[in-house]
Amino acid sequence: MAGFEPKTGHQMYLYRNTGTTVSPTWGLVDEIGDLSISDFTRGLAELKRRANNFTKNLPSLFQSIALEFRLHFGLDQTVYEGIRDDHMNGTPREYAIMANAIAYDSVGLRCPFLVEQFPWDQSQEDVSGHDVRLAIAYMTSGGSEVDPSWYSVPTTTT
Amino acid sequence: MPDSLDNALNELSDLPSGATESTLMVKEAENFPITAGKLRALCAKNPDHPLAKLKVKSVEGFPDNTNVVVERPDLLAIVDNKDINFVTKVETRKIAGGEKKVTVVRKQLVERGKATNPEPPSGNFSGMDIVPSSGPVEE
Repeated sequence: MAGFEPKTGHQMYLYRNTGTTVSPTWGLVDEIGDLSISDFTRGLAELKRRANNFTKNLPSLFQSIALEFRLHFGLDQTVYEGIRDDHMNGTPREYAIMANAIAYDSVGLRCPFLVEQFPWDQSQEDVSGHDVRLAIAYMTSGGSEVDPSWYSVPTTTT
Repeated sequence: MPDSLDNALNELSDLPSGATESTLMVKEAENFPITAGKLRALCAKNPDHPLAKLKVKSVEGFPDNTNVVVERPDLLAIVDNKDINFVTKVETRKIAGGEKKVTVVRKQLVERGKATNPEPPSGNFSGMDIVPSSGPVEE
């Protein structure tokens, strides 16, 4: 993959799917600050035995995946209102957290999320915004459950 | 009993590639950047196509100059009046310096009403650890 190289989050991309899982329509969510897939953890089952002095682990389930980012107030009204409405209505929606622009030669995590937290900071001396927290959601599409997956976009031929 | 062992091994070799190991689900798609206005105009050329209706709904309320990205086969399906069929294939990819089998899901265009897999398979994260396991590799 051509874009697989060291880079800062400033050069990475978050997308929100306003279409369906089968036929996505990705809109860029770019009026945000730092982003982190803060909880992406494999559960562990500890194995402790009399016959061995070391505690070891067996792989268990992936824990609840969470995505956190700072959404600035007053920019990109379409995206802002979309995320706000998803929060107010409890609407699950797919997001794609990509290394490069989603149109060409990119790879990333695709996952359905619910808006869990949408606090509104109105500090006297800071730009107002929301520390948004998304949590992995149960979502179906056409009767099939939507699980997280890797999304791979090959170099487009044009 | 060598004969029965041979038979058992032969049966194993007939399993589909990748069936005996965990795989990583990868959805692969060629994408296409377009504005909401152009997407609406394109869908208006075949308004009765189910995908055209979905696409128009997906940009409802978006200003015409809003940039979105859609999957190229979806646009072709609307323009050429085709349906989308999902094809799943196990492939070997180089990931993190090692080779790993991944399950790749792609879209193909088929005649209307001929799609045998109109929905992608559910994700399978059993092979999510894309870096080859740190434990001993089972041969």
